[in-house]
Amino acid sequence: MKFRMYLLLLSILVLACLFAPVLAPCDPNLAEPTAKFAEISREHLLGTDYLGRDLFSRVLWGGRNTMGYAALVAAASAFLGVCLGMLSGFAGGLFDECLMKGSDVLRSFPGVVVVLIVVSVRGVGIGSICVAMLLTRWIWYARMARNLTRAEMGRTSILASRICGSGWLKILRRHVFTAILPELLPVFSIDFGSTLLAISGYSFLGLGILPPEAEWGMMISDGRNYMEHPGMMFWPGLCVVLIVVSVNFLGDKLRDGLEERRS
Amino acid sequence: MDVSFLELQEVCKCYRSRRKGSRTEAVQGVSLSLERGRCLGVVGESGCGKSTLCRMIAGIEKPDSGGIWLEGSSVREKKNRQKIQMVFQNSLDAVNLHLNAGRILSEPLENFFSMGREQRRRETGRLLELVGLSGEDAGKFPRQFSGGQLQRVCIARALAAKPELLLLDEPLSSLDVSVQAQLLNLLADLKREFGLTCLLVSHDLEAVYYLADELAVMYGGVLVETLSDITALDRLRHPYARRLLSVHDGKAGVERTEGNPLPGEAGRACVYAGRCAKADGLCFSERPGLFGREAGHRVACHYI
Amino acid sequence: MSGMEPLFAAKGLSVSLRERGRLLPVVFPADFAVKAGGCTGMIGESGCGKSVLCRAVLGLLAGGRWQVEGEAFLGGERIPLENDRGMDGFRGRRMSMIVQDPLSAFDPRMTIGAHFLEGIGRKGRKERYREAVSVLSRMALGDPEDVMRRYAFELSGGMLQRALIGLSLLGRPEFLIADEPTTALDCTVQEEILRLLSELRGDDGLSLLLISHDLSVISRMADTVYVMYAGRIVECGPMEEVRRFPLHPYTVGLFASRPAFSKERLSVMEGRPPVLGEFSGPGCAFAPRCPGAGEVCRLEVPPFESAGGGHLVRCGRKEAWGACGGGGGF
Repeated sequence: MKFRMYLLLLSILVLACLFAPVLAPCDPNLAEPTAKFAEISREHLLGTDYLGRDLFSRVLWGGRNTMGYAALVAAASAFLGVCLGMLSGFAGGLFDECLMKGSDVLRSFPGVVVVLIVVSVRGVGIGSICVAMLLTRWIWYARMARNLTRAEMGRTSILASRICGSGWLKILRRHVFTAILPELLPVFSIDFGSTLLAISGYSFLGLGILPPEAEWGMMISDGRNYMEHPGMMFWPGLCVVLIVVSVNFLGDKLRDGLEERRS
Repeated sequence: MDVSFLELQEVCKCYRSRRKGSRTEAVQGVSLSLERGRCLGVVGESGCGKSTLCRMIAGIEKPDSGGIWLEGSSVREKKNRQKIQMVFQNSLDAVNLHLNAGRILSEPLENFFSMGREQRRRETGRLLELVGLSGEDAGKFPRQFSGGQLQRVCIARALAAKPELLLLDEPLSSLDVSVQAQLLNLLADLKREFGLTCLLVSHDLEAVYYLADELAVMYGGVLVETLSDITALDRLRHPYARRLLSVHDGKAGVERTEGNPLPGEAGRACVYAGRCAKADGLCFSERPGLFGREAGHRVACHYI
Repeated sequence: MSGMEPLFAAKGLSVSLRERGRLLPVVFPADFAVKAGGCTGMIGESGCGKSVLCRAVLGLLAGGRWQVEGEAFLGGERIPLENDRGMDGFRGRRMSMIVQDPLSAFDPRMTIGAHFLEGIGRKGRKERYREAVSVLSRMALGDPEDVMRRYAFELSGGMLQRALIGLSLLGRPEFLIADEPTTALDCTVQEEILRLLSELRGDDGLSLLLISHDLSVISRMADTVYVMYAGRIVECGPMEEVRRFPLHPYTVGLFASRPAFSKERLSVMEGRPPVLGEFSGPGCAFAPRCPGAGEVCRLEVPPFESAGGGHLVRCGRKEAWGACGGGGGF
């Protein structure tokens, strides 16, 4: 089954990166000038790069960075956005209006501009990238959660819950959140993918993780200079593609599953 | 003065539409009282304000003016939260589709009683059996029930809080005839078993007759007639009430005009004047008050 | 049957739904008829297939996932149910339909008047307008010209249903199918709509197929009644006869389910009507709910048996006729 296949693929990649300190055969930052551009061998499973660093180890360690930060940013912006969006949809009135107008203003800045501003204030580094991405990404969740919440608030079940003595926090947690979760899951999975791409992209541009730390985007960027050795670009690129595709697919399936069980 | 169990005094509620700036007087000056253990049936057509009245009694909507008291304390007070429970018309809209029946039923249990998980599980099983379902249904999601079964779950949820006053807002109107009959029997049994005080809102006079002890007829947000003994339906005098009755007799009334209730701003006219065959100048210039005609019978009409 | 040929007759009309490669029967072969100028009622609960049946009669199910078999005749002429083009001569001209929810029958972006002008067609604008006004004025709508200027959402349910009846009568059909025409309306308004339909029947000789779950509506309007259960007609006959001496346990239970201004405990049928495709066993679909069901009921579908006077019952146990609901009933 497709679902199992993607799940297996994703968990292998995630676990491999998670256990990079155990699995990686070499120090990812150890340069061996004598073994530049080594072929695939038992010693170097995926060969080595232009400084003679073991590509397999770098892919594993790089995945830790890329996926870790992408998950962090996606989770933080989802949490912030969903909380604010649900509150806004629930409270309505002035709070709702202010928040939505504010998010419109923020949204009108292109993401790259925000990144450049934050980087110019805080300096280059993955921290700045994360902050900048958080600033722009929570809005999507907030918008979505707010609209779904508003639709849900119109249902009689909310009235019924109030009559059953539930307070507003409980109504939000138990009724609104459970109802909007299936709709939010695919958004999260798409967002995780695009965050991962963005982090790789900014590192590719030299704004994110600084060398010599390994990171997929940066590895691709390095590989660009050595087109005659495609392995340097291919392996990290393949990982990015696999992760993004399987996360998107799983998010969709998960939503369908949640909806189906309840209908 | 004795305090009635449920007392409404001059309750008004008006909705304003922001876009058009128009006002809709949903409920205008409704006063009534209900003794413990009795069941009041409220009949009227859609949009006559009966659902709004229900929500105000449940304490989830605030009247613009007037007051609603349960045993002398306002229904909006927190301690009355548990005492008043409600069953809605569309059961599929009245529950969270993403929770199973067990979780739906445990919501009031969590809120009103301190029960352990195991105790709650037992209680939900007992409640489900009380309304004619089985304890195993606790694991089912709302969409897996039929309409009648889900309405039973909603009734069980209302009973879970051990209410003293049960509000039934058109509980049967979206169900099949044979299923309606089952629920009518169930409600009658529950009412007797728990000595519940009920307020049944419906457009179905026959169903109201079956369940209720008293009758109130609403039209255009106004109480036009009340009768403390529903079996004496032939005493109804208000032209609208007579008309409702004639529909069921099969004897067609004489009024032909199908008009809307006059809007509130039309001022002082009788709400039914626009449709009433007997209406004259007095009806259009002065709204009749609800006055006692005989013991336990009040009518709001100039010509009775 | 010569001389008393019915205006409308369906012979072995059945509808099935194609789903995942198999055919799900929705309506089993049914014979029913409507007399010229008469009103035939069809009673059934949700999911019994009555709405599907009337859509099939109008040829609205041709093609797609539905499979319609059997024949239908209007005024002795065969209705080409399978041929959408051929239906043009019938739909709207010789037969028409009104539905439960009139709001959904109108385009919200067009005024009521625009619907009428479109429905008349092939004439000068002034003439069309005059004709629309004349049809609408018969619907007791108050000011017809005012109604024509309005949009569907501006009118109350009763007014809309009147407008829809007017619209369906534009082509001067002889046969009108009314699918739950009053279900969504208040009872006083419902009564007015029914009176309007009766008047049209009397004045224009319109024949009606009235579909409803409401016994009081059917018993007031119809001269002949068909009771449907789980896609089958289980009882039919003259209205008065069926009302006074219902024979099929389901019909008996249905009549006993209404409180009828008494406080006596209702005798109820347990369970609920099966939904589409739920009942797949052999035998009578009502057997699981029937108090008088015996071994024979679970073996095969009982055929129609006559109880005299055109009263037919599809129940295999003659001794159970007229009994239902734990000994109660009529």
